[in-house]
Amino acid sequence: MPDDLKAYFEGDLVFNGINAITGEYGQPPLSSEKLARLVRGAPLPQDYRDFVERQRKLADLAQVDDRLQPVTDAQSDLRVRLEEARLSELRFKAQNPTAWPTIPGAGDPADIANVGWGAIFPAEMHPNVREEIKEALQPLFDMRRERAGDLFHIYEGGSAYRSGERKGQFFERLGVGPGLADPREMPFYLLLVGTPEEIPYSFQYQLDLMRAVGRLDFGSDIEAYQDYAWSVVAAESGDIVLPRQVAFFAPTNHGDKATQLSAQVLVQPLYENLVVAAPDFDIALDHDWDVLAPFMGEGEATHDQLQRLLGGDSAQTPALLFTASHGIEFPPNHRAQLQQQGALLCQDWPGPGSDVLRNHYFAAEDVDTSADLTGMMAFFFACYGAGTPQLDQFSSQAFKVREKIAPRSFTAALPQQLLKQGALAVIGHVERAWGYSFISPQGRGENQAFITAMRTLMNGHPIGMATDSSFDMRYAELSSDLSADLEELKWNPSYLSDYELVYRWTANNDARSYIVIGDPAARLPIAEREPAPILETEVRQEVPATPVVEAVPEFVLQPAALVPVVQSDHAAIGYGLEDQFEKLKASLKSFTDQLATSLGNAAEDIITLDVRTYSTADIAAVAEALDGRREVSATLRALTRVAFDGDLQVYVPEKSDRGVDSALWSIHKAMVEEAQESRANFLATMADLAARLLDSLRIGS
Amino acid sequence: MTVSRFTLTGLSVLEGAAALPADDLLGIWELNAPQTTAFAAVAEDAVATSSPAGAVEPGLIWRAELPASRGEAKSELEARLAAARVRQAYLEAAEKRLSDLQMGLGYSAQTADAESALLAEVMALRGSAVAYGAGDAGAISLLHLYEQCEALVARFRRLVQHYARVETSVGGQPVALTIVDWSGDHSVTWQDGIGPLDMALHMDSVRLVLATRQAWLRLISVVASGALSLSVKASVPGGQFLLFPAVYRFVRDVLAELEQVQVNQEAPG
Repeated sequence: MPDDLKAYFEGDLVFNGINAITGEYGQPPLSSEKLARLVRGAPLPQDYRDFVERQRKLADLAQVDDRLQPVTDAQSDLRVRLEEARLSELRFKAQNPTAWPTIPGAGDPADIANVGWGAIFPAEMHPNVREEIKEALQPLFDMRRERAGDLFHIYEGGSAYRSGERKGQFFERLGVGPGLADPREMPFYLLLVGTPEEIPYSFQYQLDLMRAVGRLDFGSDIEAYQDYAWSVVAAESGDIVLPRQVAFFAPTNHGDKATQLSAQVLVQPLYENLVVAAPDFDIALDHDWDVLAPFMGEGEATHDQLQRLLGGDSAQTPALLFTASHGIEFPPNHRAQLQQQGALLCQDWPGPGSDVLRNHYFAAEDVDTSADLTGMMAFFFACYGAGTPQLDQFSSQAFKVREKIAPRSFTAALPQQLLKQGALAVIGHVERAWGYSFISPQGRGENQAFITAMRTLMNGHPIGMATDSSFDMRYAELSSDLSADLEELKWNPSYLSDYELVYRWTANNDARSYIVIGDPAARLPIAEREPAPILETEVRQEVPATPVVEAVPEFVLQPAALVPVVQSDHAAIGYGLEDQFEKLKASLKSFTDQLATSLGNAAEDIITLDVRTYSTADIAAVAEALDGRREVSATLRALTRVAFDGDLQVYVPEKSDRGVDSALWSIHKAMVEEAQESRANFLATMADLAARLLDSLRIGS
Repeated sequence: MTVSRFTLTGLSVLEGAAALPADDLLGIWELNAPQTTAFAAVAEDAVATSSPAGAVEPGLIWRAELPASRGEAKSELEARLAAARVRQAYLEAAEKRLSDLQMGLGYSAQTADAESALLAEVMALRGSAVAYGAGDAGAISLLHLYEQCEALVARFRRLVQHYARVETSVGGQPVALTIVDWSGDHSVTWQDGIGPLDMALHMDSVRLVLATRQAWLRLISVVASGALSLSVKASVPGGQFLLFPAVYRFVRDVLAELEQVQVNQEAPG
């Protein structure tokens, strides 16, 4: 490392986020000693006061007064138990460095025919919205289903993700075991469909450990879902072929440690690595790539240049773009936060302390509206580049309080905009990106995860594999090690230096928070189509799929058992009722199918029964929000989860400003009893009805 | 508000819904009535304009609009809950009468009206009695019945497909909104400041909705199994599908008959 960079590195720690209002670092620089003290769990009172004061100032800017989120004892206990399970899985992954975490014998994980593909919807999503999104994504679903066969699955209804569920709970409810991914239990490639409020980032991180996970979140923009589905289908059907070209974008803002380091220790070495097709100890590239020299620093990494790279000039738009920069952040509830947080700060910004002007950073609305990005992918190394959680993860870990940094968790607008205009996927960072994580305590660049991810993508493999074999593995190892380190430090305070501890802590946080926006099975549509792997051919031969059915003459499919139906048709025709007869029959069939689906969902859902009690100052507004499919604003006052074995989990706000309302609590308990009884009756009736209808239909056919 | 209203919206966009009577076949809920509730009154309009034919079907909203007098409101709800239980008992009776039907004996003056009508229908469908021609009153009636059944089945499909959303208002003031999904998960939102009496009223509204759902499922269960067993007894070609409308009419007639008996018993003098 050059001496000037070493000097940067040895000073206070700086994070890759710039506050758009103050022009200062979003998280003030910290000394290694101070951060180490926080990580060890021993912040001084002054640290805490400084932190709260800073947050209060930021909050005041946006006139926010609802900031601290109380945590109940019950939630804390639950978190401890789940944390133990999580660490166990992390250790498992770290100690089993297989190329990809699928069971032996599953076959090539790049092929969804071997490892499956699924989409997970949130239970909280309005059913109408879910159906509209499913309809919009149908072309994508059809394509994935055709390839994955029985290993295709949509998680909705009873198998949908439920609010508050951790990965372990979700798996347990669906009968999925921990450890290596068994696609027969749950597909390896999983697409989360919904906002991070509906399916939180924490769930995505943990699910990503043993599976390839991506997210689609276009809110209520149904057309965007449809456009995206067609982009993926077009890319994989061979209609879109992009030149093998990769570009880099790296501002080095004046006087700014973070971008100096990310440009010189991350981007430049990454570029130098990728120009070599087959370096030692790295994945060899299957084809030659045009690796463009980085747009770096003065006159290069400008706002205008980034616009050209992102579709403003089709000749300059690469198949794959890597950027390393600050991400813009705003105080919570600032009017620009949802639309611009995570936007990429360009070279145009003069440096720390200077005002951040709107044309200094590149946001979603800066993407040329006519830009055609079909098929491309991008990797944004920047704070909040992929999204923002509602609660500050840094303060949660360092100060043991959960400060609101946004009105709600949300997906960054820029990646969403790219996907709306044809891009297949974006890798980005949730929360703060930690610039020091690609540097070892010895000052050596540690870019291996980035190199592996980029090379995997450039070889045309699914993007979910690119992150799985890089950042997810890194997270597993770092987290497992850090957990052991922290335990040891309780007994032996000199076990690690402050500096080493800080390094491990920041690296762990950094590795965890890389996510994929888009279908995790999407791959770059590059150059000519390659011959299918041998395994694919074998699978095609094994599955008695479409060609066999097509080869059979239609009349062969008409069994003799249809004769009684023909008779019945005659009887109906005698009355001129054949149309109505068929309609009724079809309607009954459809009803029975729906009944069977609902019963199937109920069977999956039977493990728990949830009763939630909310209160609100304006219930008419809640009804209106439901009608308009908008976010509902109400306060959760009590939640009871009744397990199948009768165990109860009850959550009641402990420190609500209004305390526990005894009347509300009584009615909540009564509602729980009512729900238990009604579910038993309802399911029994549905089962009886389904049996009778199935009898009718079976005899009728 | 001094008068109670119990309405169910979300069914009007169904194709063929016009063929069905504007009640819920159990005499408890008014279907697709114009909204005058304190809750957002836009739901039905919004649904109708944003859901063209073939688009995603909207969910169901059950609304109990109760009078300001909590005593009257409570009485009204209890009466309807009792009615729902009575209808369930009527359905059991209808099922019993269906299974008691004796084929081959024909029908006589001693046979109840509902049974007579059903046996006549069965005979006609067997081709051993009257044959309807196109445009005949009988054929038109049967056509109408088919349409009703198809709409009914579509309605039931909606019932098991979507959540039930229950809204209660008392004296024009919204009290609570509960969403119950098909697996029984409940999510209830209360208006701030609501007292225990109004809470209990909403609980009863939810009970009433669940009892109605239960009765509806029971209704189609009785009709489907009745049509199947009758088709076997009568050897009607086309069996269970052809007889479905006839059995549905039978069950409907039995419910009306028993209801009339009840009214007569309760009538003064």
